[in-house]
Amino acid sequence: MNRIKALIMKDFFTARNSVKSLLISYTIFLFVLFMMKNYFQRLNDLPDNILIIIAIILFVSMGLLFITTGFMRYIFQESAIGKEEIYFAYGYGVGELCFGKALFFTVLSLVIPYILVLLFFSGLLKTPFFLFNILLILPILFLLISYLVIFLTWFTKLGTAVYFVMFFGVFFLISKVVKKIIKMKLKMNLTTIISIELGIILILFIISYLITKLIKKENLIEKLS
Amino acid sequence: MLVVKNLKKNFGSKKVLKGVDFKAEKGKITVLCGPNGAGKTTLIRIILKLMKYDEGEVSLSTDFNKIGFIFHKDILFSDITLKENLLFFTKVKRKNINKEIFDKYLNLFNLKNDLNTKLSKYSSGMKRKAELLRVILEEPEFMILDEPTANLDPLVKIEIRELLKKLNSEKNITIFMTSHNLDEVEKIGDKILILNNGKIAWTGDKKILEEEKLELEEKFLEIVRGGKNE
Repeated sequence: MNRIKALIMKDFFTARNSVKSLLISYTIFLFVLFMMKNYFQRLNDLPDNILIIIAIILFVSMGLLFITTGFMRYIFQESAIGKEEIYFAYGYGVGELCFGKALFFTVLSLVIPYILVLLFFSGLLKTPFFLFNILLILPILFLLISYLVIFLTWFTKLGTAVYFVMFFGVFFLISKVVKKIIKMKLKMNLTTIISIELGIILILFIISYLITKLIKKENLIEKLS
Repeated sequence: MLVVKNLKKNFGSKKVLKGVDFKAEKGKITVLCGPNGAGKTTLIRIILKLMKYDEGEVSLSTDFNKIGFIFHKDILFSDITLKENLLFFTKVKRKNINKEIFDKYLNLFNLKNDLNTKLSKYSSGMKRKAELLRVILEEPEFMILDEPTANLDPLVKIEIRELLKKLNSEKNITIFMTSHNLDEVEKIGDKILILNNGKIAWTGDKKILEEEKLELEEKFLEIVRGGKNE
């Protein structure tokens, strides 16, 4: 835990020192959202429609992915110069390293979606399902996706290719699902939706766990050096 | 104390270490030299448990948390300041920065005015000094240094060499280091090892060289050109 705290502190310093580029990403995203204010307010009037809420959550996730693009720069840099060896030498394990970085990404990336929620969907804050998704499902999902992306980007030598496929793949999927939900007004009950969400989380968790268990840092050093 | 016995390491069909044997005694400076590709960095990686080995034994009596190391490449992060780097590395080692040591070496290395500067703006010499400052603040009992003076100008090389000697004599820190600079090896090493063809080809010290009326450079060339092993 101490090492993860130290890692988050270090990444925070890095982010703070690159505050300009970070602010640019945040500003662009907020600007886009402001332009779409009326559209969001229309959605805000539909607090009881679970699928609309899902659409909102997914839209928020797109913001999250956008912001994270900025953070991935650190991973590319550290991966390119072989910094994993230093982390390993200081006792970090593969899982610990990816988890620490993913946690940092998640915390910082969630700032914008939470501002967005407060600005545009304040009415929905009274809906338990919306809160459940925003406060629990979204951070966990994002943490797991980030974990996988960081792992694959850093340790498979596929680098940016993995990043683009994973992140923009998810981005594309989300857009498709949002469109479908809004167009078709599918009817699904709450239990089914929560089961699907938890199922996705479980699958991602198992994949992350297996990857971390199967790959040892000594083998990675040999492979990457 | 560090003891390495019959250490073997292959990368595919390439045999990098073919049975390395040596000891680095407590309180001494042991310097390993050898030509490029001799396996010095691989050996350091194995000692630091960053790489598996195929055969042999590596035993280090010092607690892993009390080992300070410098790699051939920079360890400190270039996108944050020296102060932030030091905070991170001491926190990982579960230590607080010792103010007295910090002030002393910050002044000695002349880095006080650059404490809040990103490492990317440091010169090579400043970066190496910063690396040493990091290691010193970790208050190690054993230092493992992979070419700590590589690519530095002569003045910084001398400063770092003197500092390492001082740390060894005043704080009784055991040092195991690699170097390409034979003059440096001869001046700093209590014990000198020459690694050639994946084996320790020669073990000695200044006294032995004096007895043999040889300079280290001559001994080194004799071994490397002749392909001799002990």
